[in-house]
Amino acid sequence: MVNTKRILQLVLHIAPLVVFWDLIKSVLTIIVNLKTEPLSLEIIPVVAGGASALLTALSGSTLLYSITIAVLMMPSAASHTVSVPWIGIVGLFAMLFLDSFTTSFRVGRGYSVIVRSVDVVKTYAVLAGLTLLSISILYYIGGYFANLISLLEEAAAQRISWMGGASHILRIVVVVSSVAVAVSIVKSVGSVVALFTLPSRAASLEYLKNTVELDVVFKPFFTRIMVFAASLAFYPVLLSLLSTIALANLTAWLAASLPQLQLLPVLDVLFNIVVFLIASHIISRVVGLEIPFRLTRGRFVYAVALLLLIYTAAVKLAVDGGAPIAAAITSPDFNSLARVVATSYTNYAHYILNFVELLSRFLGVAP
Amino acid sequence: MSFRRAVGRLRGFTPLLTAGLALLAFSIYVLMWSISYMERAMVATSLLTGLVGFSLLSASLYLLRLAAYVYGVDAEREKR
Repeated sequence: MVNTKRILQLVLHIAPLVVFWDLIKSVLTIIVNLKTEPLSLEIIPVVAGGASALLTALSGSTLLYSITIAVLMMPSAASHTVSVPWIGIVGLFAMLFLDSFTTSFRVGRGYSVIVRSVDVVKTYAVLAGLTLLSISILYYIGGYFANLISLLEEAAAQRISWMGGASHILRIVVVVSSVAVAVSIVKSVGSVVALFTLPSRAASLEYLKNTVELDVVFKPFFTRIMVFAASLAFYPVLLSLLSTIALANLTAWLAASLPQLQLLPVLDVLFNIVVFLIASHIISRVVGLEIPFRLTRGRFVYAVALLLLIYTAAVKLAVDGGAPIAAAITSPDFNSLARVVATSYTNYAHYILNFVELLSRFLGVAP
Repeated sequence: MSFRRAVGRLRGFTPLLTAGLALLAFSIYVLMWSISYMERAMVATSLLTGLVGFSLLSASLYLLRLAAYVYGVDAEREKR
């Protein structure tokens, strides 16, 4: 007897191979030509998509399938156009159907479900409408961001010359954030449409009675990016405070005690990363972007710790300046601390400009 | 009695739906503003307007969801 379930599961593994065959073939040609042709950065999306397609074929997972479609759309979105892989999306529906069918399908236990044909038609119509709606929302939001970013590049070319080099990274950031925004909008539009087409009194009352879900805390879009930017602005201050207190002496001592290892650059990068992580943690905990602002114990402790850190660094600077300890504690040297922080900002700006220039050279944008 | 029925209907999901749709239209208008600011090379103003537009959009979607829940409570009561 033929096992129907096994055959359907096999289809689940073969379908991604068929749909993404072009992608897999191009990855195979890249691997074959690896010895003759040099590697370039443009093949990264192709290789990522091919690896994801192969993983989809191996696992038969619908989640990996949708990730592969997203990777496929990425390079086209980065070059100002939004192309929709229609075959891939139709295939996604087939995959979802097969997936839920094979998980609930049992061999030899036939049963029938009686559904009115009106309901079947209604279900398909709602499904098709929802799909079209979500694809058009994605299309318009992608187009909006592409338009915005091309205008931003024009403006940058006129005014801010160094931003031209960063446009590759800027595009990737914009694509990722636009996908996140579009997904959240599509999700809430889908829930609204589903509630209007299939109203349920019990579920509605359950939601309306539940004040925890109903009273939303206002949270602006791009909160994470804002926290990232704020910690980028904050971490040189923290780094200079910490290096004033102990870090500079520590690194100097470590480098001097093991001179043959050339530890200084490694330690520098390591401390930068660690301090950046601490700074982003403090920013996300202390500042917060929600309204109403609440004073929690954690916020209080972090704020007091930060004040203590500033005070200790000023005292240390006063002691280094030659003042006795009692005088240093009562009158810390805030002036030279301000000078240290300002110097750290200018160093940081130099570092960022160098980094952007290096990156743009690496990506082949600048000569 | 038609006046009372109209008031009763107004108490339901209609005001929420109206407010949600009005806010949706306004948010799309603000997002278009953001594009036009960017055309005039006013980068920071444009980005701030975009942020305002997306916040208004999420507020309108929240209102529409509330309207859908209120509609759900009403609709099944009428069916019975």
